[in-house]
Amino acid sequence: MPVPVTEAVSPRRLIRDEVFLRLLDAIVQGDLTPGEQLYDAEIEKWVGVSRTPVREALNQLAAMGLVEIMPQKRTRVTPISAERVRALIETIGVLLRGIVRDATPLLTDRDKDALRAFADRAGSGPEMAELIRDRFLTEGFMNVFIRRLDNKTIGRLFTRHLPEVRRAFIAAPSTRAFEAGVPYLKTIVDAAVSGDAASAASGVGDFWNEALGLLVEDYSELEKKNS
Amino acid sequence: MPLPIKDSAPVERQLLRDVVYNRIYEGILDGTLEPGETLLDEKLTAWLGVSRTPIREALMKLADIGLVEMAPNRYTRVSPIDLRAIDEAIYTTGLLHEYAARTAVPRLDKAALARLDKSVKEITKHAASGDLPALGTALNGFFLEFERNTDNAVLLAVSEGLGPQLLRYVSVWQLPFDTTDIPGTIAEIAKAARDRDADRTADLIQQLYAPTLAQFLADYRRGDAEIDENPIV
Repeated sequence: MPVPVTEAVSPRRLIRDEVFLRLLDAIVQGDLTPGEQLYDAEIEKWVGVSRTPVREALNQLAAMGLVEIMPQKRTRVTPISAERVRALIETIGVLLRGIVRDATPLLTDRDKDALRAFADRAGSGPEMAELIRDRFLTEGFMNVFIRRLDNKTIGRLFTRHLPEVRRAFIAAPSTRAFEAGVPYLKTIVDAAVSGDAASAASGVGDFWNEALGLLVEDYSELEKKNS
Repeated sequence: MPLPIKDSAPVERQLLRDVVYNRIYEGILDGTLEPGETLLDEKLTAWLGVSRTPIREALMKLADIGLVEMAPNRYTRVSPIDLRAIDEAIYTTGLLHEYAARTAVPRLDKAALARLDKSVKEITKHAASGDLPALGTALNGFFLEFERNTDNAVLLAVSEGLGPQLLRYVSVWQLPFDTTDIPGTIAEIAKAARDRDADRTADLIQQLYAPTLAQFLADYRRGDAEIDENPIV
């Protein structure tokens, strides 16, 4: 995601963003499947634009790890690899743990209300899987802490890497990781609301390692089966 | 995010856009291209002797890591020095280094420990001579050694990607850490790593970075009304 610059409205910019957002959404939601080959001409026809904005959007998606461009050969949706999912989840988890630790003492009453509403909706595992599809974990939970800490660099890093994580969540071979995660989410919210930064942070660690660890296992098993 | 390649592939094997990227990247970090300077395509094509396409691609990549700002049809320029962004990047790498040390210290091999020692010597030398750009690079290299040993390519890439913002702080150096004895503190961290004391290594790193958060909260954090509603887009 480009560093936000002063909003200059140019038609070309808007077209590029439009193509980018449509491709991004299609890849994250799985309409374009992992490993699927992408042809410029087909995308041009699909979105109704010329080659240049399509290439620019693909370059941007490649920088985010969602598309692989092999010059003169082929462009495809990056396949989901267990190793990559593990590395992404671990890295996001490290950052989120720090943010939750440091933002908890700063939370306002409105933030706490938002977190309580999040915990109430978290529900069971299968429901959780549905909610994640709707950016629930991002908007209802992570955003509250990131926004309160107001570190734009981390906001940008999450904007860049979370789509790939969300794609792995949405394509998850089973919902057991989410089922295991719900109790941790409630613990984190309880601790954060009561101002216990250390417990909230260690809850994030548990959610990330224990619950999402199951997702990595699911993908490893799937890779073994398919190889 | 690739840092400038110095000793790997021979030049002709690298993609032209990577060569262009590295030249502009280094130009920005060493100050040849000044903060806020407008980057005109025709000047860059003349300077580097290549066509417009690889230059545009390189500029987009540099915009991606925050070194260049592009406002279509208005300007493309070297990002002005942004103290807030630098502070944010230091805080963020602090979290990553602390975790990387906790994970990697138990498995550092002899070669890795030797590289840490070498970095300590460089840091001591550059701190003594007051060569700030070299000190910044050496500090960055010291901490990245932990990331390189974590077995996590994303963690390493994210830490490396923040390097450019960190290395820019040398041009506005205001003592990034709350210590006047950087070499001493770094030597202590290296010793804890050599003793295979992962928790102590990580705790020392956390202490070193803690003042950045305090400074950020005091100087830069904005009020509720000014913060973007959705920082993650």
